Amino acid sequence: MSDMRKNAAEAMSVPLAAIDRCPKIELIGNREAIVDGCRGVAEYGEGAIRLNISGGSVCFFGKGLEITCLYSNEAIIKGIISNMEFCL
Amino acid sequence: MLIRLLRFFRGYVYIIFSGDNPERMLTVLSRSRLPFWDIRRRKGGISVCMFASHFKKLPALRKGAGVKIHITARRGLPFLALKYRRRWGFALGFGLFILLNFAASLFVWNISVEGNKNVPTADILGYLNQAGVYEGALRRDIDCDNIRIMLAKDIPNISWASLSIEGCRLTVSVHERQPIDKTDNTPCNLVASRDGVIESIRVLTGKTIIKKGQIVEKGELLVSGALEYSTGAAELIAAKGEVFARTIREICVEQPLSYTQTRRTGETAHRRVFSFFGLDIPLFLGEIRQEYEKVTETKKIETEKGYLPISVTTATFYFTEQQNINLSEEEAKTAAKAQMENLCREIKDYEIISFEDSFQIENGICRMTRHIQALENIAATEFLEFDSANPD
Repeated sequence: MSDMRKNAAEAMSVPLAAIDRCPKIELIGNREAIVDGCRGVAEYGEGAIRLNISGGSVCFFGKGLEITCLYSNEAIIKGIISNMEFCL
Repeated sequence: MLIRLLRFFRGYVYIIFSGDNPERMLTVLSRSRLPFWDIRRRKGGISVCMFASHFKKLPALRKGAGVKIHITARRGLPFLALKYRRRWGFALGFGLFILLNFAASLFVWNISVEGNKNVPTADILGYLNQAGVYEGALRRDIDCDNIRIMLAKDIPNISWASLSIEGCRLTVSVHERQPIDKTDNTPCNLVASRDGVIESIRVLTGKTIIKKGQIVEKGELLVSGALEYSTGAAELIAAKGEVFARTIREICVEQPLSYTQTRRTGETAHRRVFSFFGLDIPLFLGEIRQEYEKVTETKKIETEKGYLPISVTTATFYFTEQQNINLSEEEAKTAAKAQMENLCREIKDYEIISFEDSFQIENGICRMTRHIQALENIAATEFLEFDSANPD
């Protein structure tokens, strides 16, 4: 994340997430994950799904994983998520 | 549910991306803004669903992705129509069904009457029939406002009526007139309804004019509703009571010595008519030529909301023959007596104390006369009329 953005957020007293371009991952228990800021699918398997994000990729491990929804920059993963790993 | 319906009507395909890197195709697809769903990993690749019309754009997109695309299944209305394109009869039948359904909805198929207690439903339906309202009539031809006014005006005892059409069902709601009860407290006298000899008097209110044993004529005052007090004041009240008197009555019956009687032979025949939305379809051939007595029975299909306009009417014909009956004088007298006894059994207005029968046979007719001495309540109400010009 650039220093300029960080300083701008502090100066305007706004949350960092509002102006940052980092991907946002929302986990609902270990059953669902909503990834906002996804740049594509790198790997798709039942036990592992890897999504490209800015600065690397994020990998979800588990059982019965599937991508139920895929848009240009958003993906929803459902299944039993046992592990989540960032690959930078 | 709506989305599934939309997908069905547009038609969609199951496709599978196979190759070294099918995930890359997913990325390309997501960026192309083409809608797709049901993303699954299968043996040999990744399968997705997309609309059939968008599939044509895939070859341009897959360049550089290094994947092969196969269609594994086709679903939806366009594919069904293609599969059954030679089955024009099915389409015709479906179209006919829609047409008939629409046509049937233009008519009234069920009429129900509610709110009537004393006015028979048959009378109301008969009147409506004459006004052009019947099962099978066009809905748009029924002028509800006009007919309800005419119904209340032309049928006595109906004070208010309303007609409402819901779907193919017409509901007629009526309100009957409540008779004004004049007998409660309206000032009245009790007068004799017949000639007689007073047997007993039981007066609740009013001034008794007559006494026991007195002979009274029809119309004579029995109990007066006009009271005069010793103070000079006068009051008009409703005279109430019972005045029993012995009266003379005469009942006459006639029994012809020769007559023709209709008798059932024991043979029957059945004829059925199937009624379907106002169309009567006879389920028989030939006509009945003999003399008969007919009894009809109609069976309709009943639902929670009323009857459907589908019914079967069965007419049972009991064949009859004319039989000439000749009676002797004694037999005629016996038959006349039986008639008289039946009549007397129905009498509830008075009690028969004694009677005397006499017979007269003339011109082939046996005439029996019963002279009855009866005991009955002869008190009849006569309302007092006021002269507005001279109130005194």
